[in-house]
Amino acid sequence: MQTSEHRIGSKRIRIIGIIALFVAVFVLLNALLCFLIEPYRPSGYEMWEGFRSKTTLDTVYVGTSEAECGIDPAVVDSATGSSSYNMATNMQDLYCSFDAMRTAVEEKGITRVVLCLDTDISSMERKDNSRAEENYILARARTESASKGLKDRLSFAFSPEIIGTSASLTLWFPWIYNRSFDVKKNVTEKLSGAVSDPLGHRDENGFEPNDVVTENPGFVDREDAESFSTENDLTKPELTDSNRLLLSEILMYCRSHGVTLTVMALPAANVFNMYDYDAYLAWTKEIDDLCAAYGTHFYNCNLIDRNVLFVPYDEYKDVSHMNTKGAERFSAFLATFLEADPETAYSWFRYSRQQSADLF
Amino acid sequence: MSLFSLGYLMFNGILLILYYTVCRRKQWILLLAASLFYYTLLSGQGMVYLLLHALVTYAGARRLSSLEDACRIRRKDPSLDREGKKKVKAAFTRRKRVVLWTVIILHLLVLARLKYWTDLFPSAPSLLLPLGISFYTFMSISYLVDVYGGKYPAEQNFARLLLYLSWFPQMIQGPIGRYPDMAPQFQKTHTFDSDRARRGMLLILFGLLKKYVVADMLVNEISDLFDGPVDGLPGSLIVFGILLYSAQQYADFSGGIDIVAGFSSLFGIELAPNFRQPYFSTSLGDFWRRWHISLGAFMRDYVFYPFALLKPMQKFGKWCTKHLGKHAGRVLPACIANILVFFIVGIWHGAQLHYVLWGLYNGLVIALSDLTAPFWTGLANKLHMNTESKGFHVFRIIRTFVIVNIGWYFDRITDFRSCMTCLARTLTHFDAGHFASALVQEFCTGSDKLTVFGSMALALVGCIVIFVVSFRKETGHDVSGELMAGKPAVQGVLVMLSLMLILSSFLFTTSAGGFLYANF
Repeated sequence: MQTSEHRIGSKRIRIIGIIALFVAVFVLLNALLCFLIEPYRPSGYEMWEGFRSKTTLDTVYVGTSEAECGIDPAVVDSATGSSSYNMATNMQDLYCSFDAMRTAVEEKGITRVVLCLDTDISSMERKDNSRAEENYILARARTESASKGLKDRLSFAFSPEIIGTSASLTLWFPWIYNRSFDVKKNVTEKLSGAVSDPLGHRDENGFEPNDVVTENPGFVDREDAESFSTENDLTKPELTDSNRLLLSEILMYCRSHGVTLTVMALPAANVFNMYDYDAYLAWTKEIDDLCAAYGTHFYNCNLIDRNVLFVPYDEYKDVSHMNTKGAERFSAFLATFLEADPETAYSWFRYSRQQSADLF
Repeated sequence: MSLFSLGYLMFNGILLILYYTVCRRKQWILLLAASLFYYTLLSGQGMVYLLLHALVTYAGARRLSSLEDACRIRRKDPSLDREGKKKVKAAFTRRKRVVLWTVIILHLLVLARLKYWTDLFPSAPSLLLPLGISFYTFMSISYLVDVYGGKYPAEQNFARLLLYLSWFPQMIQGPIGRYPDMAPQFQKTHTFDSDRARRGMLLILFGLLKKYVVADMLVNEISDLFDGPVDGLPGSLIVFGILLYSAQQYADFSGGIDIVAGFSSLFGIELAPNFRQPYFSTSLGDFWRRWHISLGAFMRDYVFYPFALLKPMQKFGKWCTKHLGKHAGRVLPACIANILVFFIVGIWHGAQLHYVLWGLYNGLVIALSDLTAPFWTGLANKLHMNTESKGFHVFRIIRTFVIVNIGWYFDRITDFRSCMTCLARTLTHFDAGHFASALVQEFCTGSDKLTVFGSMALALVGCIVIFVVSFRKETGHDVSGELMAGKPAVQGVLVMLSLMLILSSFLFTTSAGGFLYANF
C-alpha cells in the first residue's frame, strides 16, 4: 500500500515537474520573441514615457496617427503660451482617447483636450480594432508599476467587448502585435540602448516629425467632390452606436470636470477620394449635432474655408498624414483656432452643400 | 464569442470544475443551464426561437408517441379481425403523418423565413438569423421522424430534449447530432478521465492549428482574388486560388468541429465525427461520406431513402428495368434522389444561385458516375488495369480531388458571371508563365509582401502538419494515442510548436474573422 501510494505520489510530482518545465520553456520562448521582434522604443511607449516625464501640462491632443503626425505641440505652445503634449497613437480608438484624456486630467490636471476624430475609427467597433488597443495598453503598462500594469491588462482582457475575442489571449504575448521584422535593428538598438534612426520616433512633446512628401495620385478637391462621388462607389462613413455613446460620455466627462473639449477632424488629402460626399456631410452634421447638445461644436478641417486653412498636397507624407511642414502649418492654424472665440472659429467651417457652393 | 478567447476558456473551465465537483449528481441540468446561458450570450433574442422550436418539437413528438400507444391499445381489441387491425393502423398512421408533417413544415417555414426570405425578396424586412437554426432544425426533424417510425419513444422530459437541441459546443457549426447517440450520454453521470481529457485537449489544439494557422492565413488572399474583377486573371492563378480555398474551407470547417468536439469530450459527451480525411476520397460519393458526415447521413436517412422508396419512384425503377435494363432500373431512381439531395444541400448552404449550382454539380456528377459505372469497369477490364493497385488508388484520390475542386468554383465564386469566367479562363488562358507576376500583383497590392508571403508560408507549414496527421489516420493509426504514449519531451515539443504556430498566425491576421459555417 505504501509502495503504491509512493508511486502515485512520485507520478504526481513528475507530472507537476513536467508541466512546470513546459511553462518555463514557454515563458522563456516568448521572452526571446519579445526581445527579437518587439521594436526598441515603440511609438506608444514613447508617448507614455514622454507624458509621464512632463511636470506641467494644460493641454493634450488625442487621436490617431493623423494627430500624432499632424500636431506639433511646440508650434502651438510658442504661439499660445500653453504647455501641451501629443498623446495620439496609431489607430487610437475613442475608448483609448477617453482613457488618455482621463489620465491627463487625473495625473496632470489638464484643462483642455483636443480630440481628433478619425473617420475610419468612428466607423469601427472596439473589437475590430483590438490590436491597436492592445498595444496602447501594453505601452501604458510599461510606464506603470507592475501591479498597475497587470490591472490594466486584466481590465482590458475582461472588458465585455474583448473577453470573447482572441485579443483577450494574444494580449499576453506582446511580440504578436507590437512587432518589427527588422530583427537585426531591434536587437542592436536594445543592446546599445540607443535609437539608430530617428525616423518614426517622437520628440519630447510627443510629436512625430517626418519629411517625406507624398506623390499626388490625383487627390480630389472639395469643388469636385460631389461629381466624383456620383461617378464612383465610395465609402459612406458612419458613427457607430458604441462610438456615439462613447463620444457622449467624453463630452459629459469634460463638461463635468471643467475641461475645455475641442472635437475636430484633421485635414486629410484623400478624404474626397475615399468618402461619398453627401454621406461625409451627413456624418459631419451628426457629430456636430451631438457636440451641440453639450455646448460645443465639431470642427471638420476638411470642410473649412480654404482661405482660412488649406494644407497643400506636398505637405503630406502619405494620403492622410501630414509631414513636418504640413504639421507646422496646421499647428500654427490650431494655435489661432484655439485662441479664437468658438463661434467665430465655427463660422470658418462650411458643412452644408449650399455653404460649399458658396465657397466656390 | 471566439473559440480562442479568454471568455470561452473561462466559461468551459468554470463549467468543468462545477461539472465534476459540485454538480456531479445533476450534471445534465448544469449543462442545460450553461447551454442556454451561452446561447443567450451569443444570440440574444434567438433564444425565443430556440425555446419555441423545442416546445413544438417536444409537443409534436409526445403527440406521435401517444398516437402510437393509442394505436397499440386499439389493435389489441379482441373484436377486431386482421382487416380491422390493418384499418386501425392505417388510420393512426394517417393521423401521425399529419402531426409529423405539420411540425416539420412549421419548422421549415420558420427556417425559410429567417434564412432565405431576404435573399429571395430583398425589399422584405429582414429578421435576425438565430444562431444554429439550421442545425437544430435538422436535429429536430431527425428526432421527430425517428419517433414517428417507432425507433424510440418520445422524450418525456422537455428539459432533456432542450439540452439535446441546445448543447452549446455544437451550436455554431454542428455536427447534426442524433438523439439516440446524444441522450444516453447526457443522462449518464460522468467522472473525470485524464486520458479522455488529454485526447480532448489535443483535438482542441489541432483544431486551433487548422483554424488559425491555415484557414485564417488564406482568407484574405482568396478574397482578393475572387471578390474583385476576374477577367484578366490567368487560369494558373485561378487554379491556385481554388486550391487555397480547398485548404481554407477544410481547415476552417474541420478545425472548428475539432475544437468543439474536443471541448465536448472534456464533459464526456462525444459528438458524432464530421470529417474523415475527405481529400483522401476515391470518388465524389466517398467524399460526401467523409465531408460534413452528419449532414450526409441526415440527407441519406431522411431525404434519400424516403424519396427513393416512394411508390412512384419504385414504379419508375420498374419501368426503367423493363425498358432500359437492370442497371438503369437500379440506378436511375437513386440518381434522381441524389440530385434532389444535393439540391437541398446547396439550398441549405444558402439561397444564392452559386450554392444551388454547387449542390446540383455534386448531385449530377454522382448520378453520372453511378450511371456510367459499368462502362468504366468494362474499360478497365479491357485495358487490363489493376483497379486494386496502390497506383490506381492514388489516381482515384487525385481524380476525386480535381472533381471536388471544380465544385469549389461554384461554391466560392459567388458571382455567376465571374464563376463562368474563371472556369473558362482555367481552360483557355492557363498562362502558367504569368503565374508569379500575377500572384504578386493580386496579393501584394495594398499589402506588404512580408505579410502576404509570411501568412502563406505559415499556412503551408500548417497544411503539411494536417497532411501528415491525416495520412497517419487514413492508414489506420491512432495519432492522438501514439502521441500520448510517446515520450513526454516529444509531446511537450509538439504541443509547444503547435501553440507557437497558432500564436504566430496572429502576426499576419488583419481581420477579426469568424467561422465560415457560423451563420448556419
